[in-house]
Amino acid sequence: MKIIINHVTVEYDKNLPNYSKALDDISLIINEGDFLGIAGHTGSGKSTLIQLMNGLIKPSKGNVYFEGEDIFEKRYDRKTLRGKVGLLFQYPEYQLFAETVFEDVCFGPLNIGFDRKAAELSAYDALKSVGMPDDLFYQSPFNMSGGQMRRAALAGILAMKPEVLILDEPTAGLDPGAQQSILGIIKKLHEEKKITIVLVSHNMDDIAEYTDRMIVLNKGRKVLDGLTKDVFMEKDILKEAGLSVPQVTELCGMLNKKGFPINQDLIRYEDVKRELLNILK
Amino acid sequence: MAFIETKKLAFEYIRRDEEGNVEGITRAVDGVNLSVEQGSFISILGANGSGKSTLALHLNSLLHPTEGTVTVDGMDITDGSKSWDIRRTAGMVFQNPDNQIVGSIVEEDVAFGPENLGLTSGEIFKRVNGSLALTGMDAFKHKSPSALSGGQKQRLSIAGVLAMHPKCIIFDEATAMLDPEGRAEILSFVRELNRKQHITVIWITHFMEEAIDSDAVFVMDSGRIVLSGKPNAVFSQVEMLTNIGLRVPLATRLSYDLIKEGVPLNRGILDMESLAGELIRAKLNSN
Repeated sequence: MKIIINHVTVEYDKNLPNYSKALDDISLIINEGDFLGIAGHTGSGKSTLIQLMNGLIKPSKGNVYFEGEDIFEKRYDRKTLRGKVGLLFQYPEYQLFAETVFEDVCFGPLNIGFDRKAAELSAYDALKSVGMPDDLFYQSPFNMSGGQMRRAALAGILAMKPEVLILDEPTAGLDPGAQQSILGIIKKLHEEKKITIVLVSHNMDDIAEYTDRMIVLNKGRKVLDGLTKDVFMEKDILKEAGLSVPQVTELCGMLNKKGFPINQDLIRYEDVKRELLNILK
Repeated sequence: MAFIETKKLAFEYIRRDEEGNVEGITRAVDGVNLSVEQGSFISILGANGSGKSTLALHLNSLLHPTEGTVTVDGMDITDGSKSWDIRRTAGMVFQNPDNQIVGSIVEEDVAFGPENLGLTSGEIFKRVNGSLALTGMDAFKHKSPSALSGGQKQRLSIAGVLAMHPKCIIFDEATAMLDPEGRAEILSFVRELNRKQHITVIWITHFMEEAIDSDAVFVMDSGRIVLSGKPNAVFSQVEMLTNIGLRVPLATRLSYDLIKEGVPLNRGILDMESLAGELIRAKLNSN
C-alpha cells in the first residue's frame, strides 16, 4: 500500500464566514502500480485530495501515510516526499520559468538534493521519456507550442524520479492531437516505468480508456470506489454527482432501450466496436 | 457583399532573435477567403497553431493584413477612422475571461465598453442592466468578479461585449478553460443569442462537438482553409481531420470505423442518438 488516506477531513477558513468543508471523512488506499482515476464535479474536492497526497495541504482531522509513515509527523521529511509523489498541477506550463527547457527540468531534482550530474542525467532521461526533440533542449520554454510546454512541465516532475505521479487535468486546454500524445506518454510511464498514476479528469471517456480503478467525489465525500468498469455502471450515483458515463456506454444504453440487445457493461471504444461488429456481421 | 468578407487574406509574423535580427517569417494566415452572412452561426476549427486566432484578430481590426482585404459590415478594417465602429460591430470574447475582465465589480466591468463609447449615463445604465439580464448575471451585479465561477466569468465577458450592441461576436476558444458543464452552458447560451437576438456568431474551437449545429464549418490548417461546408459533409472527412490534429465526434468516428469494416451505415453521423438509430436500422435490414 503506497498511500493511505485515513478518515481525513479538510476544512477551509475555520471560524470564518467563508468556512467550508472541502473533504469530509475520506478514506482511500492507493496501491503500488494502480492507475487510479479521480472524477468529480468542479468543487467536489479533487484538488484538495491530491494536494493531501504529497503534503501540500494538512488535514484538519485524520492521517495520510506514505509507505507506512505518517507524512504529517513532526520529523517526517516532506521535501523528499514531494520528489517521490510528483504532482503536476493544472496548466503547469505557467510554472515554467528557466531560460532553457533543460535548466527548467533540472530545477526539481536539484531542489530535492540531487547533485548536478545526477540532476542532469535525470533531466535528460525525463525529456526523452516525454518525447521532447533534442533540438528543443536548449530553447527557451516560452518559444514552444502549448503541447510542448506541457511536456516540458511533465518532464520537470519526472526528473525527480517519482514513484507516484499525480496529474490534475493534464490535457486541459490542449488541442486533440496534443491531448492524445500526453495521455499516451502517461500510459507508457505506467506500463514501462511502473509509475503509480493518479489521473484527475473531467473527461469520462479518457477515464474509461486509461484507468483500471476510479473514485468519484461529491461535495467532499467519496461516493464510489472500485474497478472503473463497475463504477460506470452506477448511473444514479454518478448522475447525482453531476457526472455522465462514457459516450460509448451511453450508446449501449440507448440501443438496449430500443430493443437492440448489446452488453451494457462496456466502457471502452474498442470493446464496443468489436461487440457491434459481432452482432452486425 | 457579405457581412464579413476576407479576400486572399494573408498575415506574416516576423520572428526576431535576441539582437532583433530577422530570423525568419511565419505565414500564419495564408490566402484565406471567408464570407459570413449576417445572422449566421459559423465555426472555425483547427489545431493549435493553425492560424485560426490570427484570422480572428483581423475581424475586429486588432491585426491588419499583410496581403488581401477584410471588410466588416462594409467597412475596410485598415481604415483607421473606422476602428471604433468596427470594434463596436464585431466584439470578441477570448479564452481566459480573467484576461478580459477589467472592473472590480460586475456592473462596473460591463459598463467599461459603453463608457468608452461616450454614451450618456442613462444609456449606460440601460445597457448594463439589459446585458446583465440577458446573460442571467443580474443577481451578481454588485459582486466581485473574483467570486464567480469560470462559466459565470465567461458570461460576464459576454455581457461586457453585448453592452456595446454588437452585430457580431467572435468567440476565440471561449470554452477551453471550462469544465464540461460550463462548456455546454456557454455554448447553448450563445446559440440562443444567435437565434433570438440575431447576433452573428463566429465560434472558434478545436472541439468538433461544439461545431455540430453551425450553419457552416471552416477547417484551418497551416494558415489555410482546407475544408468548408455543412457540418455533416465536413465531418465525414474523418481521415483528413485526424491528420491535421483534430478529433471528430466519437459517434462519427465509430460509424466511420464500422463502415470501414463493411457495416452498411449512412455517412455524416454526428451524435450518438443518430448512430443508435442507424445501427437499429442496419440490424433490422440484416435480419
